[in-house]
Order: sequence, then structure tokens, then C-alpha cells
Amino acid sequence: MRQACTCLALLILPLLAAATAPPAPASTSPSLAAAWQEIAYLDYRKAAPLFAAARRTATPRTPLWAEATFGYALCLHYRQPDQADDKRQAAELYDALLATPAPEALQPLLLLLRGRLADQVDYFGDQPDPAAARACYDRLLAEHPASPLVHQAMLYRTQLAVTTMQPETIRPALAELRDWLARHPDNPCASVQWILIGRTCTYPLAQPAEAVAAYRQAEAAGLPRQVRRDSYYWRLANLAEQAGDRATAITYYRRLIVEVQRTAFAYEAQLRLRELGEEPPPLVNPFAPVEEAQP
Amino acid sequence: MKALALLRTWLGVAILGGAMLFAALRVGYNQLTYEAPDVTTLRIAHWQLEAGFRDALQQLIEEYQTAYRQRTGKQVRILQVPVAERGYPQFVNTGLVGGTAPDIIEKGKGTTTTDPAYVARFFLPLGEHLDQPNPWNEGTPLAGIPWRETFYDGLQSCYDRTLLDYYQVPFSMFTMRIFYNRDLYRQIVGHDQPPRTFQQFLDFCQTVRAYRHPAGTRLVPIAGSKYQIDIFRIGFETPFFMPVGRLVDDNYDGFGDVFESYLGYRRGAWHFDDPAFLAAWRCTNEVASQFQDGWLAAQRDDAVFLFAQQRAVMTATGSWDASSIASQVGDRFRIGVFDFPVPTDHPAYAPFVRGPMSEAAIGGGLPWSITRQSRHADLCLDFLRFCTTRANNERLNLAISWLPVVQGSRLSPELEPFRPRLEGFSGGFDYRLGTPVKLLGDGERLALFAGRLTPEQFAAKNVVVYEQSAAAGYTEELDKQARNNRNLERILGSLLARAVYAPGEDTPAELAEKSLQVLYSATEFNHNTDMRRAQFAALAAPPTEEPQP
Repeated sequence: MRQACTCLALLILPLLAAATAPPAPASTSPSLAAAWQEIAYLDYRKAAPLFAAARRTATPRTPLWAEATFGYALCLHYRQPDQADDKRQAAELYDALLATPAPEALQPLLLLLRGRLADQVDYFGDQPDPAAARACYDRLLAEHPASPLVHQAMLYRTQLAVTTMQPETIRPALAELRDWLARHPDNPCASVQWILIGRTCTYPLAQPAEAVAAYRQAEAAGLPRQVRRDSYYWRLANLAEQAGDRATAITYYRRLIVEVQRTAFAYEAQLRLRELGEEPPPLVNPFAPVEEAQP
Repeated sequence: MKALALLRTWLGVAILGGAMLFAALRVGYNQLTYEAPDVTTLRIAHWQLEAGFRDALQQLIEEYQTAYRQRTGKQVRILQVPVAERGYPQFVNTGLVGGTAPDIIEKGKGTTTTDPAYVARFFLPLGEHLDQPNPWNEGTPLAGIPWRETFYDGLQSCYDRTLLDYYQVPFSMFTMRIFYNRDLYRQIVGHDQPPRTFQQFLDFCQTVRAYRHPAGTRLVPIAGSKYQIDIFRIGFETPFFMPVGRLVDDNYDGFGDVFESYLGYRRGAWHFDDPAFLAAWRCTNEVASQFQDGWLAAQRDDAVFLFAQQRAVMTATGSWDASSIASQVGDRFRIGVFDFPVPTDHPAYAPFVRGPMSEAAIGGGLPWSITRQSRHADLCLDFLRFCTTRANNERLNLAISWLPVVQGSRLSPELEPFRPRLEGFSGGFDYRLGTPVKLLGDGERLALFAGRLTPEQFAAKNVVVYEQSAAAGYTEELDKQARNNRNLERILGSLLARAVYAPGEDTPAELAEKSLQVLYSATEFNHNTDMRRAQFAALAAPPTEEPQP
């Protein structure tokens, strides 16, 4: 599994490679370096004045100005407390950058963030604008097909339909996402896209068999390393039981005991296996004094 | 008279001079201690003032200092900075903000050690180091294994799901059990084997009540307080609620959360006066009735004192108190420990209880973090690695009678009963939706366990408050969840932007991995929020063919 994760990370590398390609190199300005450090600390409030100051002194339409403007827009987008004025100004700055010859590598990210700004409830009283968000995602997909961010845009585009929780709206969107996955099975967001399908098939579509299939596809695509395997396998086994898929249920209850080990679900998985007529594997005691490690 | 006059004249000056001299010596001593030439000094701060802890840590420190000198030829000195629990948050917060914090800090208590924004600012992320083998494990069965994997739980419990990295390394883990006075127990029932079933446990309590101590002392079965009641509540009540949690769990995470419990309530899957609920409260009530009179006014230490004074036969607390209790008791009597006897044998309670709760996924405690302001982060890391080899972790925990956290470490024999139980169930049930329900639970639950309210009265009060406030609590909770989801967006925004402009301390691969992790969590949480909103709306709508998962 670790290998799968490594492969996944390598698959995502092009995303970052594209994003880090010229003409948008890593910041060289000391004041912006400090601002980006604040962004790394998730302190958008402290970063905002640093970007604003750099923006005031930079020559308009230079890479430094674009970087400072983008950083400032990002801070307005995410800094707390969330206020309508900040979000409006962030949208204006994103739009302004999109209208100028901003660094090529920045364009897909600008579209993605502009879409999120329209997509989400950002402050009290905010109303999502799914049409505007969809327009941004569609533009990203159409104008930057080589950008790895298109896969994230596709995910968000499907989520716009899923959020409605209306089966008739969701079904065509899921079909489009499945089609996308058929054409890009190894895309860096594939596992998360399959997760979205799995969850949506569980609710509101109430299709447990399809949900099981999607979750298995997500696993095959490579789950992030920190996903709690025990919860994941438990959910999968329960859905398989609900779908009448005894073999899959048995497989995942077994894997829970044998592979995960350090889980509170293991004992109950044993009981479930017995109910399914299977002799369960013994529990592994991770706390036993042993001579050999149990990685 | 002359001497008195002289004293009157010079006393103030003498005190002042003495104080100045003391201060100068103290400063000089500190200077020599902290800033001695050719010696690198590290400081490690903690709030563990329990018996034996400082000595055990000091022994490890001295061994490390020797081992480091032998290995590198250089000198290192590690100074403990123990701080009382009450003042610890202020000490840590001011130290971190003012730039004077120790190099290694026990993580917890202060805002600066728990709030993700501060944690990211003040502490070193340890993920990349935990992926590497611990060099101090060379020549042992743990050689070559990533440091993270040498811990019992693979450090799952230490992963910060907001910051997507590890910021702490644990030294111990903790479970909760019942302590008993073995000598007194034997005196009363003729043997010292603890009760194995709930009925035996209750029978023993009755025997204690009826027992006439030769010294004329009236014995209490259990020494209790507000602190102990929560320990008993976790031990006895949770197994009753677990099956209800399973009943309403519609996202198959093994837990009935507040949304699922509300939706289940509205569709009639459970009610406050269900026999399972009444039985759960009656069971804990029955245990609390074995506490001493007036236990509601007692503090944790009062209960331990009562137990140590041999006026109570049992008490309950966590393994963290084991050595303190042992030192209070001394050699006056032998202490035994046993697990909570879950009432699977009791005619009234057994129908609602499937078994005890599992402790297989128990996480590490006593967590240490390295501060970013430390000038010797590599050395701090090396020290933490040294402390978490199998042998060293075992020795530290044996010395303080705590549970080790490194794979394969032996337990102190008297701590065997604290070994985490594997055969048990997971999950739970949380109906405490909204502030009024929580306040009722916190306030009236003590009245319930003190016998001032019957379980039926407690249930009736809950029904009134839940009916009035749970719907509002549901929407509040949804808003809270939406805010949490938005925090994930903030993290994702930071990662995506930094991938373009400022990779900083994360490599591109690390940024990519973190981005995928956040995207995964955000997708799950967003779907969950949308689903809960739709399910709530469907409750208000006229009955239709709402699909049930």
C-alpha cells in the first residue's frame, strides 16, 4: 500500500511541476517570502498586509505584482472573520488577474479558486452561485486541458450536482464523472472522485452495490496514506452485506482483522464473519510483548 | 540597646544585600547551568508531577547524555522544567509567544499547543522524521522500521488531521480500571480474586456494606467523587449505548453521531425512556450507590485518600494514577487492579449489553513536541528517538508503572490488568445535540447518579428539552460542520498556492500528498453536510419516497 501511495504522489507531481513551471517561479522577494510563510502557518490575517504592501510598491503587471496580487486575493478569500467585503474584493482581484496576462501557470489556479469562491458559503448570509462556479470549472476544463487541476475541477463540478441531493440532477453528473474516470483512470484525483461516487451511491441514490464497486475502485486508485483503513473497510463490508455481496463483505472483514490489526472494529469483524458462516482469523494482539516488530 | 539600634539601622540593608547576593548566585548558577561552554543545553518542560516521573525521566536523560558523549564526543545537558498543571498553560503560552520556550514541550493544556494555527507556527512537523528508521534501534528487532511504525498504534492518534502532519511523539498510553485493596478484600471474602461478573461485583459491594471490621471502622465499597463517577460511567454506560449507535449509524462509521441520533429519534428508532437507556442509567446509579455518603462534594484526591486510608475497598481511576496511589498506600496493603465487569450476566441489564468496549485502537499519551525556536532541533529529535527505543521506553514506563507505547515493550507486572482489551466493541452513541441538552446532561446527570432523580425522571426531563431544542441544535451543528469544512478549504488554498510560489519546508511530493489528503477529507465532510441537510429537510417535508441508505 505504501508503494501505491508513493506512486500516487509521483502521479501528482506533474500537477505541481506544471504549477511551478515558469513564468511563475517561487517567490524571491523577502517580504513575500515572509508572507508565504504566514500562509504556510494558515495565518491569512498576518499575510494580508504583507502582500498588500508588496503590491503597492510593485510595478503593475510584473510577475512580482501578480504574485502579490494573487497572495492578497487569497488572503481576502480565506482570512477570518469572513466578511462580504473581503470576498467581493477577492473576486475582483481574481477577475483582474484573469483579465491580465498573469503568469500562465497561475491561470488554472485562479479559475479554480474563483470557482470555489462562487461555489461556497463564505460568510453569514452568503448565497452560493453554482452557475458562476460551473462556468469557472468549465473554462478551466476547456482552456487548460493539460493542467492537472482539471481533475479537481471535474470533482468540484460533480459536487455542484451532488450538493442538490436530487437524484435526477445527480445521475447525469455521476455519469459524466464516470466517463471522465474511464478516460483518465490514473488521474491524481481519481481516488477522491471514486469516493464521491461511492458516497453518493450510498445517499441519496441508495445503490449499495454501486457504492461498494466505487469504494473498491477508490482503493485501487490509491487512497491517501492517512485514511483510516479500519473505518474504510468497515464501511465497505457493511455496504457489501447490505447489497447481499457476501464474498466482498467477508473479504473486508478479514482484511480488517489481518491487515489493520490496531483497530477497535476487529473483534466485531470476527463476530460478523461467524454470522456469515466463516471461521475468522485470530485477533492480532498489538500490545503483546513480542520479539519481532509488527509493522 | 546598642545592638538593637545597630540592627534597626542595618537590618534593611542586610536583607537587601542578602537578597542581592542570593540573586547574583542564582543568576550565576543558571548561567553556568544553561550556558556552560562546550555543553549544549536542552530544556524539556512538562506538568507530570506524579510520584516517580521526574526521577525516571532524569535517569533516561542521564543515560542519553552518556550515550551521546560516547557516540559523538560532545556534551549535551538536558534540564527538566516541571511546572504545576495549573500554571502550565500560562508558562507555555508566554514562553512560545515571547520566544523563551523550552526546546521540548509536553503538548497540551495551553492554546498555543492545541490550536492548529499556533501549532503550525510554534512546533516542528515531524512527519518526515517519523518515516525514517530510529537510528537508536540499530541492532534491535525494530531496526530499519520507520520510527512511526515502532509505536503500538503506528502513531495514528498523533496525526494532526487539520495540519496533516505529526507534531508529537508519545511516551506512554493509558487505560482505566478499578483498584482494590487486596488484603481487605481477602479479609472480607476469604480470597483476593476480584469479581469477574457484574453480579459478583454487586454482591461483593453488599458484603462490604454488611461487614463489621474488627477495628470498628465502617467500610465503604467504593471511594468515589465527581471524577470517579465519570470513569464508572464510561466503563458501564457506554456498552449500553453502543447497540443504539449501531441502529442509527447510516454512514457506517461505527458511531451514532448527533445527526444520526436526531434522525433516528424522529423516525422512532429510539426514545429516552427506552429500556436500554433506563437500564444504562440504573446500572451506573447502582454502582454510584456504593460510593461513600456525600461523594458529590468530594474531589478526586479525597476519594484516593479514602481508599489509601483503608476506609474504602475499591476506587476507579486511570493507569496514570497507579504509581501515585501505590506511593500513598506504601506497604500498608497490597493493591489489586481489575477490569470493569460489564453486566453481560445480569438478568436486568444483559439484554442491552453485547460486551465491553474495545481498547485496541487506544492512542499514545504523554506527547512531546519540539519547538521551532529551539536552536538544537536535531538534538531534540535525537533525544526523543532515544527515549522511544523499545528498551528505553520499557524502562521509563516500568519505573513509573505506566503503559509503554513502543511495540514489544514489557509491562510492569502489576500493570497487566491495564493492558488494553482487544475483545470488545467499538463506537458509541451521542444524542447530546445543542447546548440545552448538553447542559441538562451535565447538570442533572449528577443528580441522577446521586439518586436524587430516577432514570424515568431523567428521561422525562431529556424528552422535554430535546423536543424543544434538538432541531435548532441540529442546524447549529450543521453550521459548525460547514465551518469546519471551510477550514479544510483554507488549508487546501494554502497548499495549492504554496505549490506555485513557496514550497517552503514541504517538498512538492509532500504538498501533493497533503493536498490529496485534504481533498479526500473535504469531499467526505462536504457530502456528509449536504446529506444531513437534505435528510433534515426531508423530515419537514410531507412523506415521500425518501431513499434510505
